[in-house]
This record gives sequence, C-alpha cells and structure tokens, in this order.
Amino acid sequence: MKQPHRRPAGQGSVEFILIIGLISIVAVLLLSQTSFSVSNLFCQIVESFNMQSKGLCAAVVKEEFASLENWTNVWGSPSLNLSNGKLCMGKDGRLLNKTKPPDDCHITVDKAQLNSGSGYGIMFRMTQSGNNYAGYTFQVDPGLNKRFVFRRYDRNGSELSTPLSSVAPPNNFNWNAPHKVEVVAVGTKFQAYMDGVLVLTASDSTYSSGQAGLRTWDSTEACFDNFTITP
Amino acid sequence: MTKKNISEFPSLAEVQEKVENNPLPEAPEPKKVNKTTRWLARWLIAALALIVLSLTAFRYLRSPSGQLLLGSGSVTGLAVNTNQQPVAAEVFIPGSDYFAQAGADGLFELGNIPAGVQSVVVAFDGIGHEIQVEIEAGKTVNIGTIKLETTQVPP
Repeated sequence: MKQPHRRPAGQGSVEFILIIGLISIVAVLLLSQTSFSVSNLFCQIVESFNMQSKGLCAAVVKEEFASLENWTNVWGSPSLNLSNGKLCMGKDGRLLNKTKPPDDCHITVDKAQLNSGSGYGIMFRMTQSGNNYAGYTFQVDPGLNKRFVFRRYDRNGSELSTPLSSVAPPNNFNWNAPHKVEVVAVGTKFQAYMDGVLVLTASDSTYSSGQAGLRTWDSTEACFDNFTITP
Repeated sequence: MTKKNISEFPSLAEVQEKVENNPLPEAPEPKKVNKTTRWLARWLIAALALIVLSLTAFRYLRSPSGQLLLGSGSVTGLAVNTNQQPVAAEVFIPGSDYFAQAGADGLFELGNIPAGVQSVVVAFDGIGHEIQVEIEAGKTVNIGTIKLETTQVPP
C-alpha cells in the first residue's frame, strides 16, 4: 500500500519554537550559574538615564532613622541612639533591618562615621543559623591592621577567623571622617565601595540570601546616616 | 428568493463541454523545505537539548541530595585552645545542617557528609576556623588537631 505523503507544512514553526525555547532555558541555566543579574543591569541602565527609580528598581529599604521599629539587634547589647536622622551605635552589636531584601542587592550608607574604637560594618545576607545569624559583613576595620575586610559569619554567629578578603587603604585614608559606604552583592560576588570608589571584592557561595544591617564591636562608637537597599 | 425556471439552467452536456474547454488551474507545488536547513535545525535542537540536560544534571549534582548520590564519609579530629587544652568546639559545614559538637575531651566526628571537597568549620567562643577537606565515600578523614585562636587572625 502506498504511504500517504507527509506534508512538511508547520514543521518549520515547531522547530523554530523549540530552538527559541531551548535557547531560553540554556540562557536561564547559564545565568543562574554565574553572578550576572539581569535586574541589576536593568536598574543600572535606569539609573544612568537619571530616571526616577520605580517598580522593579525602587528602594526596598529607605531608612532615615526616625525610629528603630524596623530593626532588631541579634548580638550583644549595643548602645543605640537616634539623633537628627542618624543612628549612633556603640559596643558589640549586630543590628538587622527587618525587611528581607532581594538576594542580589545594593546597600548604601550615605554617611558612616567612626568616632572611636575598632571599626564598623555593613552586614548582608544574614540568615538564622543555629541560635543566631550567619551571613557576611564588609568592615571598615582600623582595629584589624587598618584594613577593609569582607568577613563571614556561620552557625550561631561565629565569625570566621580569616577574612574572605582584605585590603589596606591608602595611607592618607581618614578613618574617622564620614564616608559613603556601599556594598553590592550579586550571586557569589561581593563588591565594596568607599566614597564611590571600588575598594574590595570577595567571592563566596555559602549564603545566597538574607537580611542586611549594621555592625559595631568592642569599644566602637559609630554613626550612620541614611541606610538604603536597592535591587 | 427568486425562483428560476429549469430551462434557464445549462444542460449536462453544456457543463461538460465548458469543463473540458476550461480546465481548472493546476494546484501550486507545495513549498519545498530546504533539506539542509531542516537538518541543521534538528541538529541544533539536539545540541541544545543535550546542553539543557547537562546543565540540569550539573545543578542537581551540586545540590545536597545530588551530592549524596556520590556517597558520604566522615571527618574526625581534636579541637584544642592555644594552651593545648581540649575544648568542646562546634563542627559544621556552613550553610547546611551538618553539625556536631566535640566532647569535653575535644574529640569530634562529623558523619554522613557528601563526598567531594567540603568546607568544614571548627568554631569555639564565637570564632570559626575553616578547613577544606576532601571527603571520600565510605571513609573517615582525620584532620588532626585544630588549634583554635579566640581572637581574629589579622589578614
């Protein structure tokens, strides 16, 4: 019996859709293995056009320190004082903002000033682990050989003795002047900026999400003005 | 609806003659699909499907459940302080539920860890020490004596 002739009509479209679908899946799988963030790139473009950040790129946290109702301390007993829209924090404390930001985010403290003591830090990706929080911090740390460091905390809040990375700032760096401090966490890559200049990077894949906050320790007295988290 | 008289319709012979003199135009040839292009598309689909499968398998093998497919092993050791006194340190793999507590004699064993290179943290008094350990399935790795500083190590 003669086989009916198979018409190729429509086959091209199916193949085309399959190719597009598979390319999309490969792209998503590859991007998830790297530290590339599409939303971050989009927000950078929006910012470069001086467009007002709305929707996807709007700040998820914009803290002007009128009160501490959005914060919780998870370590030690720090002194916490609010004055003129600034938070002054002292002694041993890890203060976390209650809002959980996106996994990839940009944390900015407009003015951070070390009045005295060992240093201060910006914490990020802090998650409950054991009886405390695990995650990361970028520290302005004159108490640790006068360096900027990225550190990691693990179960029960124990601090890894060796920093993830560290760098010594220029000799003329004024540790006690107010500085704009920024931390950018994208995938497993972290960047720290002081006054708009990239000063340190680190890479670690242990913690991928969590809360952000501020840290002081020992005899530190430091003040923070405006704490913002954007995607 | 207007009615037509039957005599107004053409006869069968007239219709037949009309059809014979004006044959229907031939149906257009079906569009030919270039065979090479079709094979290229199929090879591309096969290659992309293979990449998707490989990436999915890679992701699964990196997940905790996937890692257990490779088998598991154990880590043992002794935790002491700077005075060489044994301490009841905590031993764990950060970011996971693998956790053990050393005894008063400082000896610890962290078992059922997925095979492969694992980051083991031994922590005491709020300071952790990270050690990279190659875990072999079904075996126990002794990482020896871990001396725990209680202050941060300067970079």
